[in-house]
Amino acid sequence: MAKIYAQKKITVKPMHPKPETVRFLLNYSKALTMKKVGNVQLEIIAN
Amino acid sequence: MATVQFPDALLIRNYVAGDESALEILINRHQSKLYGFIYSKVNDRDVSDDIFQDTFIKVIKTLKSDSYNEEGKFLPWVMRIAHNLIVDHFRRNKKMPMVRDTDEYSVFNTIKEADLNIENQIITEQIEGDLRKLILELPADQREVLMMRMYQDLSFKEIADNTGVSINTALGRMRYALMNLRKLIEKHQIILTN
Repeated sequence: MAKIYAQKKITVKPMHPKPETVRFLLNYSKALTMKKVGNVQLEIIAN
Repeated sequence: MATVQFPDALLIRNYVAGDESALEILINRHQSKLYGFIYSKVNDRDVSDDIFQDTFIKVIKTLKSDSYNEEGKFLPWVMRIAHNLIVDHFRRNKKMPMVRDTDEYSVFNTIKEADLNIENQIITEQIEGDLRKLILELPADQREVLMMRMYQDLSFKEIADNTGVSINTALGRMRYALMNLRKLIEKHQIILTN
């Protein structure tokens, strides 16, 4: 009997960063304020 | 009910205007593509996470300082940042290659062996000799399991197969062997540290 060479569908599980990495970024974003003083860009991180 | 998908440009505008939830949507939308891209280059989950994080830190800083220009699309821009960070990573690693522990090699083994001077070697030999004598005092079934585990580095499954007992019995014998060893150490008042 003839073989059936069906193309196997490659299923690749999407990869994601660790939840804590995303959490860190969201918290970092909330805490960060950028202030421009003259020509200098200041980063202010709220505790 | 149909869900409305806001375009990236609108989310960026909202984020710059102070809407923090817009960033979460942007990250969730693009995390898989970006992370997959980084992982395909560096082949390491931890390094990928670091680069992913650094990429978005740059994105956040650029957006918050209002210096993002809307010329290009968001994702290609983020990918370009990630690409540059990947190049930096490889450049840095070329100068200072990172050594990782594997099953066969541990960096701590090297450090430990390098530290052994003659005095430490003698002490280590004495400790190992004392330990061997103590092990000989253990009941035969416990001694057998302990020797297989510590000296032959067998798994409990292999020990169970070799001795014809269940894994739980092998685990139990190991536990009792260690408890009895402690008792013997106390009884003989032996110090097994250097």
